[in-house]
Amino acid sequence: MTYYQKQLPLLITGILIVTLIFTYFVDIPGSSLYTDELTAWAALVGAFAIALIGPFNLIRYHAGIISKREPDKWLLSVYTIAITIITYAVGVFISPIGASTTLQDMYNTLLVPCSATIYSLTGFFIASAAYRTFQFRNMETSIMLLAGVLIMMKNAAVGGVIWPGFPIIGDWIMKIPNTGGFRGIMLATTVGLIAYGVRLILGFEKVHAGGT
Amino acid sequence: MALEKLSDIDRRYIYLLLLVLLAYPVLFPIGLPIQITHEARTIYDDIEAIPEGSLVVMQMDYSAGHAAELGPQSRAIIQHMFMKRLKIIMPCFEPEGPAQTVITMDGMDTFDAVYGEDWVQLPYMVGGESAVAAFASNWPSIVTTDHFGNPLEDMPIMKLYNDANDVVYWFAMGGGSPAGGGSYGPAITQVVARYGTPLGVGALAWGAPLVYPYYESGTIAGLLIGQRGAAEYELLINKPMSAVASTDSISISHLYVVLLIALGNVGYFSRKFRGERK
Amino acid sequence: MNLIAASLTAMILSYVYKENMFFRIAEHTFIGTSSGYFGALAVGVILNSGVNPLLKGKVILIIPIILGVLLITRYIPNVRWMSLWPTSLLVGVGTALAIRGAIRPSLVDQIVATTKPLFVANNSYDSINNILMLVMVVGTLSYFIFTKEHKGALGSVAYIGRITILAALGSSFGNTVMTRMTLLLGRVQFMLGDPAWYVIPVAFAVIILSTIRDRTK
Repeated sequence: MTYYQKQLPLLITGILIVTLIFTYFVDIPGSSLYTDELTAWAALVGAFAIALIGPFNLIRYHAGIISKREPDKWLLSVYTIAITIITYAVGVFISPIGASTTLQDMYNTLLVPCSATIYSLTGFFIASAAYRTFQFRNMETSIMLLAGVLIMMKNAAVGGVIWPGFPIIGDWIMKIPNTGGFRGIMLATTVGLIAYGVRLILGFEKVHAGGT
Repeated sequence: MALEKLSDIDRRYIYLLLLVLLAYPVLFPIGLPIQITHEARTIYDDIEAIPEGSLVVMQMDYSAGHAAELGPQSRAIIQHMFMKRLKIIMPCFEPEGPAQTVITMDGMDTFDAVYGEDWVQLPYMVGGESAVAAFASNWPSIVTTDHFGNPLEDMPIMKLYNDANDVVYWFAMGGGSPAGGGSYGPAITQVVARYGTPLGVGALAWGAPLVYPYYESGTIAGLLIGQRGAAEYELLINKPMSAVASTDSISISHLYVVLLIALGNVGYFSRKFRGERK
Repeated sequence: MNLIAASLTAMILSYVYKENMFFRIAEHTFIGTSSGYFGALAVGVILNSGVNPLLKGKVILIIPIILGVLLITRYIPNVRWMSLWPTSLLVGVGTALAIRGAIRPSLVDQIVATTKPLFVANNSYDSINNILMLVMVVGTLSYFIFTKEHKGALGSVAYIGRITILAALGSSFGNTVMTRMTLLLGRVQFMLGDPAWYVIPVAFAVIILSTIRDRTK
C-alpha cells in the first residue's frame, strides 16, 4: 500500500484530533468556524454511512441466502429485501420529509409494534432469569441480589406502602454504592478514552485505517 | 422434594402469570400512592422558575422500543413547558425521534402555542456527538428545514436561537447509556461542558445508575427515572396520564419478580441442603 | 392499521411459547422496515444538509459529499483503501469531540464530587457517606489496576472496589427490571385496547391448535 493508502488516513485522524482539542481549549479567532464546519462534515459523512452501507449490507446478506436457496430461509429473505426496498422508496420518493403521513403511518403500523414488542420480550426473560439463576450462592452474589431487591422495592410504589424504609434505603444505595461504583468506572473509562486519543494521534491505533 | 419442585416450574406458566398480573391492574386499577422523589421535584422546580417566553430545548431522542418509558416522561415535561408558555425547540438526534415526537404531540394541549413562533419540531440530525455539537454551536450548518419541510430561517422561534447560550433549560430524553449516540450523553459533553446550560435528563430506568453520578456531582440539574419518574412528574403538574395508570401494574410485577427470586432460592437451598445431608 | 400492529405484536409475543414461522415473519418485517426507514431518513439528511446547500452556493460541501460516496468503495476490492479516508474523518472528529466533552463532566466534576469534606460538623450521616464515597471510588479504581497483583494493601482496597461494583450492578439489575416490565406493560396495554384485543382470542386459538397438532404427530 502506498503512503496515501496507509499513512494518510492515520495523519487525517491525528491532525483532526489535535486541532479540534487545541481549538477547544485555546481561543483562536476563526476556530469556531473550523470546528462547526468539521462537525457538520462528520454528520454528513455519517448520513452517507446510514443511507448507503446499512441497506446495502442487508440486501447483500439476504441476496446471498436467496442465491444459495437455503431451505426455510430464502423466501423470508425475499420478503425482507422487498420490504426494505418498499420502505426506502416510500421514504425517499413518496414521503421524503414529514409533510406526508405515509411514512409516519408505515412507522406506526409496522416499526412501532415490532420494535416495541421485541424489546418487551426481555421482560419475560428477566422474570425467567430471576427464577432460575439469581441465587444467594455466596456473599458476593448475595450483595448484588440484595441491592437489586432493595432497588426494586424502592422503584415499586407498593414498596413504600409495605415498609417506609424501602425508599430510604433504595435512595441511599443509588446515592452511595451505585454512584461510587459507576463513578469509578466512569473515571477509568474517561482516562482510557484520553489514552485511546493519544494512541490515535501517535498512530498506534490503526484498525480504523486498515491496519490491525 | 416438594420444595425442590418449586424451582422447576415450566417457564411458560411463569410468563402467563406475568401477563395476567400486568393486565389485571389495567382492567381493575388499584390506586397505589406514589411518593415524589427529589430527582423529579428538582426538574419541576427548575422549569417552574423559568420566566414565560424563555427559550428551552426538548431533545426527543428515543425509539419505539423505549417509548413505553420515555413517551410518558416527554409528554409530561412538554405539557409543563406549554403550561409555562415557554418557547420550545425539539431537535432529534435519534432516527425515530421525529416520528415519536409526532406521536407524543398527538392530542397534546398546547395552550394556544403557535407552531413556528412558540414551538418547532426539527428533523433527524445524523451524527450523534457531531450533530449535537453542530446544533449547539451553529444550527444552520446542520439543519435548514423543520420536520415538515418548512424553511427554518423564516421561523420567529429560530431567530431567537444562535447557540446554546440562548437556551435557558435543555432537557434531553434518551434511551441507553450516556455513551450512546442520540441520547443524553452528547448533551452532557457538548452542551453542559461547553456552554454550562442547565440540563435535565429523562432516562430509562436501566440507564439511570449510569447517569446518576452526573446528577450527584451537579453536572446535570435533574433526573427522571423511567416510568416512575414519569408518574411523579404527572402528579407534580397535576395531570395524571398513562404513567400514573401504569404504576399499579409495575408494582405488582416487581413483587412478582421478588417472589420468583425467593422461589428459586427455596429450591436451590433445599437441593443444596439435601446434597449436604447425603 | 391497528389490527396489523396488533397481529405483529401477537406474532412476536408467540416466541415465548415456541419459536415459530409467525415470529420469523414479524422479525424480518422489523429488520426490513427499520433498515429502509433509517436509510430513507439519512437520504433526507443528505439532501437537506448537503445537496441543497451545495446547489445554493456552499461549494465546500462537495468535499464531505465525495467522502461520503467513497464509503461504498469498501465493497470494491481494488479501491477499498479509499473508504479509509471518510472513516478517518469520522473517527478523528468523533474522538476529538468525545475527549473534549468528557474532560469536565466525566473527569473533573466527578473527582471534585468524590473529594468532599470527610468530617462535616454536626452531620455524621453526611460525614459517613462522604468517607464511604471516597473509599468506594478509590476501591473501584484499584480493582481495575491489572499491572500489579491484587495482594496486601492493594488487594484489600481492590476487594472493597469489587464489592462496590457488585452493589452497583445489583442496583442496575433492580432498575433494569422496571424498564423491562414497563416495556412489556406497554404492549399489554396496547393489546387490551380497542380494536387490538380482537387478536388475543385468535392468537390463543392458534397456539392451542398448534399444541394439539404437535401432540398428535
